[in-house]
Amino acid sequence: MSELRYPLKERLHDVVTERALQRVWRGIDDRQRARAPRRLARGLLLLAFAGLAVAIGVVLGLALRSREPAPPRMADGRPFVAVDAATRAVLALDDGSAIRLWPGTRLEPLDGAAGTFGLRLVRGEARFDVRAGGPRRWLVECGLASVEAVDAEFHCTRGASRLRVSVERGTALARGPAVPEHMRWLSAGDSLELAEDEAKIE
Amino acid sequence: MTRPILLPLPNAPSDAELVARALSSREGDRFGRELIYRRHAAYLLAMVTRLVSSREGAEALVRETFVLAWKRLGTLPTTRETTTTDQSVDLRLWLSRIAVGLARRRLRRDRMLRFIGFGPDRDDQDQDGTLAALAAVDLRHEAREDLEHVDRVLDRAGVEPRIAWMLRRVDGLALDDVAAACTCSPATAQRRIAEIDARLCDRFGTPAESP
Repeated sequence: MSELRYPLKERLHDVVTERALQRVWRGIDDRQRARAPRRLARGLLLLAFAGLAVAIGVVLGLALRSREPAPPRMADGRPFVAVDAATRAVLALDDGSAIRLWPGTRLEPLDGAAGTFGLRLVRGEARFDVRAGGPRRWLVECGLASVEAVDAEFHCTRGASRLRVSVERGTALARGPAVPEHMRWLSAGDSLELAEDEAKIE
Repeated sequence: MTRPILLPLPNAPSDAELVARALSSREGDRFGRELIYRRHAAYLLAMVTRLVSSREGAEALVRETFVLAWKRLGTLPTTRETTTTDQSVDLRLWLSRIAVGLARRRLRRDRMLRFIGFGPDRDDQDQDGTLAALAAVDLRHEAREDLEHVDRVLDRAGVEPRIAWMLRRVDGLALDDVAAACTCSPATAQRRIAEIDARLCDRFGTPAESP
């Protein structure tokens, strides 16, 4: 049997020296000192990330805004402006769409919402040939109703207290308080006639 | 470079007071930290040197222990109403648990590296902290051979039994303290200790209090 008895450390010499303790303390101290600049660096890094995120947001916002489709212009590049037709006229637009106007008609552009090309038929008669693939949905305010279309050809006749909408091609959506159920899909061949106090669908 | 404060100090503050001071400011109170270090570092350094059988490795682990301890000092339970002595024991146990955890990780890593052929051979490794290397100068030749035998047994033992046995049989910790340092139950600690006791019983017999 061994002469050694537990705990064995009673028969071991002391491994700890003052120099070793100071060496370890210096290591701890160095690590602690290194933490302050690291904290500062971490703060700066966070700040940089926040700045980068804001910059990316701004760039993305501008990019998305610039990608918002511009309203159609006239075929010759001029902006669309209000028209008073004295004779029959055809307005050709740069997206291939066309508006045919009858004498005595007044048509005005509206500041539509994003993605919408707004027009107001003040009086008279117009045929709208909206071509597919255009950058915006068309919205024509005609008094008793508004007509929306993306790819359709429709005819609007606005009188003093009456409105007639007929669709020649595609599908259009008529909305307004005078429209039955306030909303009606009109397909090719359909027409909607509205008066101040009555509505008739053919 | 600041030198550690030399003890003893008159009316030395308790560990609880030092912990409170160390937590009192954003950067911590330097005096409190140095005093905590000076009070417990020697104990930890001796214990970890024996655990990992390397003085240099132990210094690195103790350094890491205190760096971690400063970060986690706020999580140290201080709500217990205890005497100054008990608080001192609590802080020492808490630090021991961190140090043992780091030592365990290092021992496992070294074994894994040796197993896959990347670690240094045991003969090449810095082994100035083995029991035989730490033997007192007046120890007889037979006793030194016994310590070498213990080193060989510990080398072959698993990491967990090695740590538990060393804390109990070399450092003389109570079983509950061994369990706390190893973050296991006393029964588990006892089983681990018994595993190595069984391999050494031919030279050391079965300890009276051994399970």
